[in-house]
This record gives sequence, C-alpha cells and structure tokens, in this order.
Amino acid sequence: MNKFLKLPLFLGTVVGACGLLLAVVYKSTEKKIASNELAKSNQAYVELFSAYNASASDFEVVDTPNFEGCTKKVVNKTVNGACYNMSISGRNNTIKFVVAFADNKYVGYSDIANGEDSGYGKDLIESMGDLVSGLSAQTKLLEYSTYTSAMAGKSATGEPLAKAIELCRADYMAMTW
Amino acid sequence: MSIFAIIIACLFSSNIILSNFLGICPFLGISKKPSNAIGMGLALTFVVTMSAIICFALEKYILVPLGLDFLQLVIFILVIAAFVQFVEFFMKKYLVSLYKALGIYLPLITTNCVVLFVAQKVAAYTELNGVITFEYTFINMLVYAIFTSLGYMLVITLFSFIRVRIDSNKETPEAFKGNSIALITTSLMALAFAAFMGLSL
Amino acid sequence: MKKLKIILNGIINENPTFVLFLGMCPVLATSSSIYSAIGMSACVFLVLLMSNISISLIAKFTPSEIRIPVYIVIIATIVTAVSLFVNAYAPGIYTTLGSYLQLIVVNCIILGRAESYASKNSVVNSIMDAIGISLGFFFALTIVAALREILGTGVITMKDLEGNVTSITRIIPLAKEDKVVYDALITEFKIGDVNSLKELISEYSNNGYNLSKITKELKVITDETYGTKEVVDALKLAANQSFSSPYEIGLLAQPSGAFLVLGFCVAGFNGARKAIANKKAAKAAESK
Repeated sequence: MNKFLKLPLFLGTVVGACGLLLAVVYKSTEKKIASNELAKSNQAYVELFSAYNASASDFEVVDTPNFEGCTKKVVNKTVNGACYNMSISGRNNTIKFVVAFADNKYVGYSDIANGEDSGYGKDLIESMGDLVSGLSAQTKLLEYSTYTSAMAGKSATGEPLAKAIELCRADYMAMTW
Repeated sequence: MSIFAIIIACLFSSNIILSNFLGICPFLGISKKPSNAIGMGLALTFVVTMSAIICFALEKYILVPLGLDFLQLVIFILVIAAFVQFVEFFMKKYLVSLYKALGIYLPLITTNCVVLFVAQKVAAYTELNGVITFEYTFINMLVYAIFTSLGYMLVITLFSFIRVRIDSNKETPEAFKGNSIALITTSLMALAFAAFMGLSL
Repeated sequence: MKKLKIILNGIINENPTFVLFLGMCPVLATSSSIYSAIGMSACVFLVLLMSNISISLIAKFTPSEIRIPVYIVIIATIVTAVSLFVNAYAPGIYTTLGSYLQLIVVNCIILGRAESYASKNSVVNSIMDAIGISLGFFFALTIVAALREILGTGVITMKDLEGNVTSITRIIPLAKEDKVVYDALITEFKIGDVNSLKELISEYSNNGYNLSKITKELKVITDETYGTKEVVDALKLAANQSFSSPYEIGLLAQPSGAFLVLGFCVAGFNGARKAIANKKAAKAAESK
C-alpha cells in the first residue's frame, strides 16, 4: 500500500481503538463519580448544621440562583438556613465548596475539592471553617480584618473565595422566610 | 482577572517553574548557555501560544458540543506532537543554527509539562444546569499563554547566567556537582520569587 | 536471578529521579505529604506497567516513522483511563494530585522507558523493568516526601481513599509547655468530667492556644453512643491538628523547600552509590 496512506491509516486505527476503550471506561465510571460528589456535599450539609441536629431529609433543593459560580442551593426551613454549592476558579484549578447560613449568621464553610498549594492557598482553605463560622451575616468578608490578615500572602486564593461568598451572602440576606 | 493581574501573576507570583514545578527537565538540561536558554524560551512561547489557541478552539467547538470531553487528553497531546513536528521541520529549513543549538531539546518540547498544562488550563469550563461557561475569554487565554512561557524564559535565562558560574566553580563537593547544586540554587531562586506572593492587584 | 537484577537495576543504577533525572515535575509537586507520594507512585506504577506491556506487544507491528505518535496515544489513553478510575474509586487521591495526574502522560519516564526498553524487549522483561523503575520512583519520592512532611510539619497525616483524615502521628516533639497542656487535656478527659474539661479548654484558649478544633469534639463526648476509646482517639486527632512544634522547619512545606530537599537527596544518593562502587572496584582490583 502507498506509504502516505498506510501511516495515517495505522494511526487512525490506533486512535479509534483507544477512543472506543476510553468511551467504555468513561461510561462505566460516570455514575460513580457523580454519586461521590453528591454524597460528599450531602455529608457537608449535615456536618455544617450539626449544632442544629439537622438530618439529611431536612434539606430541600430549590432553584439555583443566577449569580456566577453557584451550582446548587438547598434550604433548611426548620432553622431558616441555606447552603450554597459553589464552584469557582482559584489560583490553580477549581475550588468547590459549600457555604452555609442560618439564623442571620454564617454557619460554616465546607471544602469539597480544591487544588491549591499547601503552605499558601490550602492553609487558607483549611482555616476557612474557623474564620467564617459564627460571624454575623451582616459582615462582608473583604472588610473583616481577621479575614484580610489571614488572607495576606494568599490573596490569589483568598480574594475569589471572598467575592464568591459575598454573592451567597447577598442572596441569603435577600431571602424572605 | 484583569490583564495586568494575569501578566504579573504569570511572570512573578505564580511562575510556572518556581511555583508550579513544571518544565524542570529542560530547565536543568538546557540552561547551561544563556543564548540557548533564550532560543528555547522563544521556541516554547511560539509552541505554547499556538497550541493553546488550537486546543481552546477544539475544546469549545468540537469536543464539548459532541460530548467527547473524555478524549481531551488524547486529542490535545496529538495536536501538540503534530505542532512540534511542524515547528521542527520549519526550523530545519529556515533557522538552521538555532535548530542545531537546541538539538535533542526541540522534540522534547512535546513532553514539556508546560505546554500540556497551559492547554488544559485554558480549556477548563464549568457546567451549570446544562450551560457551559469557559473560564478564560480569548484575550485572557492569549495573555495567559504568552506570559506563562515568557515567565519560563525569564527564569531559565536568569538561571543560565548563574549556572555558568556554578559549573566553573572548583570548590563544589564531588557528590554535589552537576544537578544537585543546581537544584539547591533553584530553591534560593524560588525563595526570592516567593516574595512576590503578597502582590495583590 | 536475571529478572531480579532488572528490578534492582531500576532501583539503584537507573533510578529515574536520582540518576536519570527524568520526571522531576511530579516528584517536586507531590512530595508535600507522604499520602500524595504513595498515591502518585501507585498511579505511575499502573500507567508504566500497562504501557510497557502494550508497547512491547505492538512494537513489532508499528511502522517506525509513526511509532512516537502511536506510543503517545496509547499512553494518553492509559492515563485517562487510570485517572477516571481514580476519580471514581479513590476521590481523596484524585483531589490531592490535582492536575498532576493527567500530566503523567508527558512524564519522561513513561515515554523514555517505552522508547528505550519496552519496544526492544520481551513482555516479561518489560514487566520486570516497569516494576523496578516504579519501585525506584516510589523510593525516591517517599524519601523526599517523608523529609518534607516530618521536618516541615512535624506530623505524619494519613488519609483514607476518600480523603478523610484517619490518623495524625506526631514525630517532632512539642515544646515543653505545649506538651503539658496536651497531656492535661487528655488526662482530664479520661477522668470523665465534661464540665471541668470545658473549663480547662477555655482557660487555655484565653492564654492564646487555638483549641477551636478540640471544642468541636466536645459534642461527641456528650453523645453516649460513642465509646471512650473512640472519643479519646478523636480528641488526640484534634489536639495534634491544633498544636504545632516550634522545632518544625516551615520552609520545607513551601515550594522552595522541595527543590532544597531534592537537591540534598540527589547528592546523598549519588555520593553513596559512587562510594560503594569505588569500594567494590578497589576490592576487585585487590583480589586480582
């Protein structure tokens, strides 16, 4: 066979075979990946609201709000609380987290996935829970001095986080019970 | 992020070698002469920018609408390999001296982590209720690709000046000669560049 | 015996990180903790094994002009498949490795061994070579990660496949004053009086210790369905997270520390290897 025909044909066959194999693997792992993420965020809701003794059935999914980064919103009517699943881009990759409000306060922050560097953004994300929980819902994070000093040197992670949480806070304050 | 913030981040505060640890193999290998380092940096800039544009277009207009996102790695690496082959062919004919100087490191741009990392980063998207939004606009992506590789070129050029001095030093202990002392010097450079971490724009 | 020699070769004489200097990017990037080091070496082993087997099987049928693109496509397929499996069944490792898992495809080790060894040798030899090289990589990566984690953070944090922390073992001792506080908390809990434990914690918090993680564990204490041993373990886990030793070298947890530790490890390994080789040669020359 002509050389110029044989080489691309061989390469094309290899690419085709690999593509089929990958399609099989992708289809078989697709469901497990989605269910992993769902289980993790459900676990995050229950953990964040552990002070109110909430269980998984107390949370109902509502329409996703329109602001940037929000992938899901669940509401807990018994304690006037709301959780927002957010997916934003930090310094390295996507940061996925859940931020929760209840009773006119920040309830907490739960990290789902992040790819930040340890020593920089990862440390900030690990301390977000302590920084945020218990704050009054009137506080804007970027004007809160403890947060801005914790963010020093890690602003490439800290600023997008604070802006995203601010959008959630504004949506929560606008909610009527 | 504003364009200026991206430029400062790529060049200094999240430099691709000293903060993201990518492209170390050519960094330790090519950086023995400053002229080679600059040539490698310019070749890499060209490959990274064009690959980023092609891969971004492929992802946005072909792979995502057809739902073939899992083939992203295979297609991207084929595109990069083909493009490097094309650049090699072009250099052999028109830029012969640079081709000879780069030697084995020109085909090794295919396996340079920087190219694939930039291509995958600009092709990232988030899916929200079926609406796909790409994280980088076209201009942002262009600026990011060009200045990431310029940051790479900056670091390997600076390092090549230092390496000339290190390699001609007779007092390095025997076990440390070669790549070991180069790595320790790189850590001092990384410390210096880490000072830019606090820059916020 | 010849097969074992191939494995030993991969660990000592052709160690991919310390001798051949291939694939440095994942070593520097994932050596921040022992957990990510083990995860990364497991993934590299899987990819290298499968790629060596498949390439030594098809090397004879591939036209030599397009062998590099064919090898690259096969390796990219294997890496994508491995990353999908890791994402599904070990999400903790997937989030720790981040984008470096997909960058295994451009890791010079895989393509280098495929080109230089697997395409010219039988399947069994290629498998032995893959095992040897991966063991060498695992050895190098774990040494760098152990030094960085133990000297840099003072504790070894072990997580399970989901990413939840299972144990924190302290290696570098706390300062004397901190150790007193830590022991007092554990003793006070074992006595069993929850209220005096809460008082002790608030007293120490007023003196400047950050015990916020321990106060979360107090909710567990009041729940009677947990046994004492589980709660003491949880309390120790929380305490190890809250305290930090003054003898830690914080630099090693940062990017420049990675370069530093790797440089010293390379020097140490190569120096030891050359010294042993010189001794063997001197002995051989003597006995002749």
